[in-house]
Amino acid sequence: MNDTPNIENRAHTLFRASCDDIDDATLARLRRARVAALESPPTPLARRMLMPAGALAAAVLALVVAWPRHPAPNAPPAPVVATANGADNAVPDDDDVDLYNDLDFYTWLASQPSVASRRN
Amino acid sequence: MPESQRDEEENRVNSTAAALATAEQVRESTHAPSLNAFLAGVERAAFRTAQMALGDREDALDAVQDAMLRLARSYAKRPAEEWTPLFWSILRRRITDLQRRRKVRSIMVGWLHGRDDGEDSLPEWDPPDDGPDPLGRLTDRQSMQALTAALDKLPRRQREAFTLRVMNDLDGAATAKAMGCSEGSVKTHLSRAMHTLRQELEDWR
Repeated sequence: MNDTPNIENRAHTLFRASCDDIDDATLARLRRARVAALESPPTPLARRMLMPAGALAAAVLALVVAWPRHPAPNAPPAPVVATANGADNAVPDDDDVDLYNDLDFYTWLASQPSVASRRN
Repeated sequence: MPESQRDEEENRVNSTAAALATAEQVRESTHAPSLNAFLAGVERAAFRTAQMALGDREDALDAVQDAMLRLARSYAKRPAEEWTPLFWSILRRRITDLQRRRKVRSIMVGWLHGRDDGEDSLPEWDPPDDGPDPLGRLTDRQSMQALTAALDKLPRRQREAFTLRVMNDLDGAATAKAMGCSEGSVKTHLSRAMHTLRQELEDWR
């Protein structure tokens, strides 16, 4: 049995009945909305055309500003520039130099058995 | 209040009323009366359609008012036979906008407060019960609630196709224009909607 017409008819009938049941306050507001719409001046065609154009321009501008700028993949590395006092950026600070100079000592220290293992 | 002052007040009220009447006549003469008639004929169905989709009277009124404004401002000079699909297209987009805004707002509220307080949950549509046949109206109300709930479960495009084609009696071409798709797509959406509604509205058989 095909019940589609039943659903369609019933939905349509219910909907129409609900449209007839709208309260007076809502009808009054709908009427006011209609009058306000009819009173509003028509939007000029130029403005209707300009609005999408303006939105498109704004979107393009935003895209250009927000576009991530990556360096070219084959670009040569940036040359090392000496700082104002003539020091090279690649030179480590003093602590790193001390650690490097004492590297032999720290290697020997690490190879020594701990105090606890010597007692055992 | 002295007699002269009262007369003066009365004259002022009368002149204001006359001015309003003149403005009404001017409005009637400057606007095509058929657009007024068109909007008057469609406003109830538009309101109910928006209310069923949005579940809120104020939002529905806003959507209908926006659609009327947009049609009158931008498309009043179009041929009258184009108004129906144009109006429903505008209203459909407006309803979708409001639904999306509501969803974003709900997400933001949930994110800010760490929970959703249910403020944006859609209330059941509740038609007024002021008629002479309470039992019949109760049955109609329950049926309407069931229909609204079933429509809520449909995907948006299927719901739009059913609402425009079946409930608002638009023909296939007008529905397609209002939905911005082909008539074939409307048939597909409608067929799927009917399939789901048959399962959801078992009691209607």
